[in-house]
Amino acid sequence: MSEVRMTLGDVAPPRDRRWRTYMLLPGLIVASFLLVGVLGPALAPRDPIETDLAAVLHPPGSGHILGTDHLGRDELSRLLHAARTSLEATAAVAVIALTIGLGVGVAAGWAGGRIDEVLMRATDLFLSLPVLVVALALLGILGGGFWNLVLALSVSWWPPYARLARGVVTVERRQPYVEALDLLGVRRSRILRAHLLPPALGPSLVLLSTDAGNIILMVATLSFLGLGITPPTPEWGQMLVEARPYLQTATYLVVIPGLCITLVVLAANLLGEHLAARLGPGVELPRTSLAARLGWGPARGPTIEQPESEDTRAG
Amino acid sequence: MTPLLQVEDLVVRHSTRRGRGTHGVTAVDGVGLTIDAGTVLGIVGESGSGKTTLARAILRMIDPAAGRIVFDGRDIARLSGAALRRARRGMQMVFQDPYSSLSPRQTVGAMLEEAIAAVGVTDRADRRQQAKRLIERVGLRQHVLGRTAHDLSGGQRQRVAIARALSARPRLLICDEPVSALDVSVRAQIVNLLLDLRDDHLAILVIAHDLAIVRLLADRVAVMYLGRLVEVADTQELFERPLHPYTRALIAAVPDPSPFVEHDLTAIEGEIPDPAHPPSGCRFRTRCAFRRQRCAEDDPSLRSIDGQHLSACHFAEEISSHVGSPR
Amino acid sequence: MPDESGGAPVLEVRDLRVGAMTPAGEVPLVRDVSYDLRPGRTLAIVGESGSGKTTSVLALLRLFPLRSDYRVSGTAKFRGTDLLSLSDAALRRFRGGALAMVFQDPGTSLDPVRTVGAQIAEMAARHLALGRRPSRERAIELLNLVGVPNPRRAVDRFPHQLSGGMRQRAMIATALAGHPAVLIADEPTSSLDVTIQAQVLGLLKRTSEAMGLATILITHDVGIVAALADDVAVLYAGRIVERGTRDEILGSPDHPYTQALLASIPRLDSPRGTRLGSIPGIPPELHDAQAGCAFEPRCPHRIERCALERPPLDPLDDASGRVSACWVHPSLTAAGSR
Repeated sequence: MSEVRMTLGDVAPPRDRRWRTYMLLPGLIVASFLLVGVLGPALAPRDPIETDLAAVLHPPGSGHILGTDHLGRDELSRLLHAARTSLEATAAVAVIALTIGLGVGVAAGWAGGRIDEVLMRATDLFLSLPVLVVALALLGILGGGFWNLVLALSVSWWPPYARLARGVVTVERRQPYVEALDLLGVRRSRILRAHLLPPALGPSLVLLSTDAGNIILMVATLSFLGLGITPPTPEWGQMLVEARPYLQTATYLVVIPGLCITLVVLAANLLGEHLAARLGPGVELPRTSLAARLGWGPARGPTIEQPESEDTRAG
Repeated sequence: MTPLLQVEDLVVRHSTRRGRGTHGVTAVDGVGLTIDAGTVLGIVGESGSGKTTLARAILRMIDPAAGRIVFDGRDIARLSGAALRRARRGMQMVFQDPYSSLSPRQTVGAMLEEAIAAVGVTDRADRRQQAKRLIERVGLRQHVLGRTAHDLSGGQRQRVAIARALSARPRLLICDEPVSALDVSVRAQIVNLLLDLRDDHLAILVIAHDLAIVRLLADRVAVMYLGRLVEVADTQELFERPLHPYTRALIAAVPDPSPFVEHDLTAIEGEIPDPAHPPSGCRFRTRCAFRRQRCAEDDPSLRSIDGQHLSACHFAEEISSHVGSPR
Repeated sequence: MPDESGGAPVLEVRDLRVGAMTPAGEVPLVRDVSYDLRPGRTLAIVGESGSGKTTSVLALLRLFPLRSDYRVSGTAKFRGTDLLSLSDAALRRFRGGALAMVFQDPGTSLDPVRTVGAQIAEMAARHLALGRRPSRERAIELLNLVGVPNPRRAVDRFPHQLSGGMRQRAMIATALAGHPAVLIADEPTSSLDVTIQAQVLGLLKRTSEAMGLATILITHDVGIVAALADDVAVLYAGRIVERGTRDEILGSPDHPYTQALLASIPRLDSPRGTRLGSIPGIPPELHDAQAGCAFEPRCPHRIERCALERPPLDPLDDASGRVSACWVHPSLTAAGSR
C-alpha cells in the first residue's frame, strides 16, 4: 500500500517563466518557417526561376531586397520558395516514416512471438543503415528530384518509430484493462484502433518533434551534395552549393541560405527537445543535447500524489 | 440441479526458459471444482499455489493442457474463436490492481458504454441508460461517469471495474484478489458490494490470500497448495474443523486483531517449495507438523472425509480429532 | 506514555512536522507528531495511505529521495541527541547503527549486485569497527540468528537467489548488524505470504525481546498490531489522533476514526455474510488548511465545535498516558450507556 509517494517528477519549477522566454525565440523561428513554408510562394515578389542576366550578382538593395544570384534570379523569392520545398519534403518524409513505423510497430507489438521477432529484426536491420549513405546510394541510382529524395530518406527514417510503437503496444497489450476488453467481447479491431494506437501515437509525435529538425537538415545536405532537389527548383542546400564559387565576391549569397538552414534547424531542434521533455513520459532529454547543456531541461522536484479519495454514499 | 461451472482434472502448464533448456511448471495439477448458480466459492492459497492461473485458465485467458471446463453445460476448454467468445460471455473478471484494470484514456461512461456495446446494445440512448444504472448498482454517484480513472480512488476504481464486468450480464464473476490492493477501510465497501451482488444471485469465484475476506464472502472454500486442492469444504466447516495441516497452518498464521490476548506467533517452518520441483509424495510434507513416513512415498488424493468436506491428507481423520480449531 | 516497563525513553519525538515543497507552496504531510519510545517496547504507528506514517519515520533518518525538497521541524531526541539537527555526516553514524530500518520490499531495498553477506558485513564493519574476517563471521552469525538455513552458504548469495521470506530475514540481519537500540520496521511483512509473514513476525518479536530493542512498527494491519505492539499511535491526515497501549486502543478505541477502522476489519470469527462497517467520505486533501478536526466530515459523532476548532490530544484519564484528539470522546460517553 503506497504512502503519499514522493516521486521525482516533472513538476515545472518557478523557472518555468524563464523557459517560456527562452522558447519564445525558437518558437517564433519555427512558426515563421511554417508560415512562410505555407504562404511563401504567394509572398514572393518575383518568379524564383526567372533569370535576368542583366542583373547578375546584385547585392541586396532596391529592386531586389536580398539581391540576386549568379543567374540574376531574385534571392528573396528563391528563399521563400525554398522554404516551401523544405517544408513539403520534411512533411512527406515524416508522414511516411510515421506510417511505416507505426504500422510495423503496432503489428509486432500486437502479434508477439515469431512475427514480432521477424519484424523487429527487420527493423534493426534498417536501423543499422546509415541514413546518409543509403540516401546517397539510392539517389545515385534513381537520380535526384523531390519524390526520390523523399523515398530515399523515408526508407531509413522509420525504424525508431517502429521500435517506439512496438514498445508501447507490447506493454499496453498485457495490461489488465486490455484483457478485460477482450473478455467483454470487444472486437480486436476496436481494441487496436481505440486503445493501442493512441498511446503509440503520442510518443511517436513527440519523437517526431525532435526529429523534424534533422530531416530538414538532411534534405538540405542532400541537395547541397547535388543529389536532392534538382535545379531550378530552389532549395536552401542547393542554393548554398550554387553560391560557393561566389563566396568572396557575393558573400551574401552564401550567408543568407546558410543562416536560414542554421536558424530553422536549431530552432526546430530546441523546440522539439523542449516539447519532448515536457510532454513525453520516458522520452528523456539526451544529456548531450544542446538544450540540456544550456540547462534548459526541466528541473526535477517532488510531485505529491494525492491520498485515496472516497466519494461514495455511506455503506 | 446442474452446477453453473464444473471444472474437471484441469491441468495448466507454464513453460519458462531459465538458464539452459526449457523448464515446465505445472501451475495447476489436476484441479476439479464446481460452482452452483448464485453461490460463492472462495479459493485461498499463497504464492505458487496456482490460484490465479486457475482463474485465468477457467476464463480461457490461458490455455489448459488437459481437463474440462464446463460452463453452463458447454465444455469451453477446447473451444476457440467466436464460439469461445459466445460461450464464455457469461463469465467476467475483476482484477487485483484497480490502477491498471481500467482504461487510462477513457471516461468511466465511455468505458461502460463500450462494454455495453460489445454485448450488442446498438442504441446510444439505451447504452447511456444502462451505464447509469450500472454505476448506481455499484454504489457510485452519476458524476463519476464523466471522470477518468486517473481522478478516482482505488475503491472507486474497483467499483467501476465491477460495473464494467456486470455490463456483460455475467452469471459468474471471478474476482482475483479484489481488495488486496486497497486501503483497509476501503476494503469493507467492496466486500459489502460483493455480498450485495451475491444476494442478487450472482455466482462469484473469489480468489484471495486473506482468509478473513474469504470467510465473509464464500459459501464454500477450496484451499490450494502448489497446484493442487488440499481441502474443500463449506466455509463454516473449514474454519471450525480444518482437516488438512496446511489449512490449519494458514488459519493459525493469520494474526488475530483481538486485544487482551497473548498472541502465539509460532508458525510452520520452511519455505514454499519451488513449483517447478514439488516434493515427492505429499507436496506439503516438507512443512507439515504431522508428517509420517507414508507422506514421502504416497501422494494423497482429494477424498471425502465427511460428506462434502474433502481433504487430501492421509491422516485427515486423525487431525479432525485434534483439539478443535487451531486458534 | 505509561511508565511501567521500559524505563527512560530511548527516543523522544516532539512536534515533528514534515512538509514537501511544491510549486504550490509547502504541503504538510506530517504535523505535530509526538511520542516516546522506550527500550524493549514496540510502538505501532497505524494508518492508511496518505496518513503520513512512512514519511514521519523517514524524516527521523532523513531518508528522503535524492534531490527532493522537504522541510522538517521539531525534535527527535535519541538518547539526548536531536537527530533532526545533526549534519548529514553526523546522522550517517547513527543510521544503520544505533537506529536501523527494515523496509517493506526487500526486493528493492537490498542491493541487487552485492551478496547479502557483504551487505550485512558492511554494516557490522562500519558500526562496530570490525575487520574483514570478523565482520563476515558476524554476518554468518546474524543470518543464523534470523533463521536463514545454511548461513555459511547463504552469506554468499545474492538477493535474487533468495525467496521473499529469506530476503526479508536478510534485511533484518542487516539492520541488526550494527547493534541497534531502535529498530524501525515499515510494513515489514506486507509483501510476504501469510505463512511466511507469521514466521517473520515471530522472528521480529523474539529478536526484539532478546536484544531489548525499541521498535517502531508501521503497519495498516490491525492483526499485526495486536500480535506485536505494546503501544499504538493512530495517524490520520498527518496527525496522531489517538495514542495508548495496545489493549487500550484495540479494546476500547476512543477516536471515531479508530473506532471506524476497527469496525471495518473482517475477522476470522465473523459469521458469513456480516456486513462490515465502512467509512463514508474522503480523506482530506493535503493542501486543505482546515480549522477544525480533519476527520469531521466523515465522523458519525461530530458536533458543531468539530468543524470550527481542532481538538487537541486530550488525556482520557489521568492515570494512563492514553490520549485522543476528540471533542466528543465516544468511548467515555458510551461507557455510561453500555
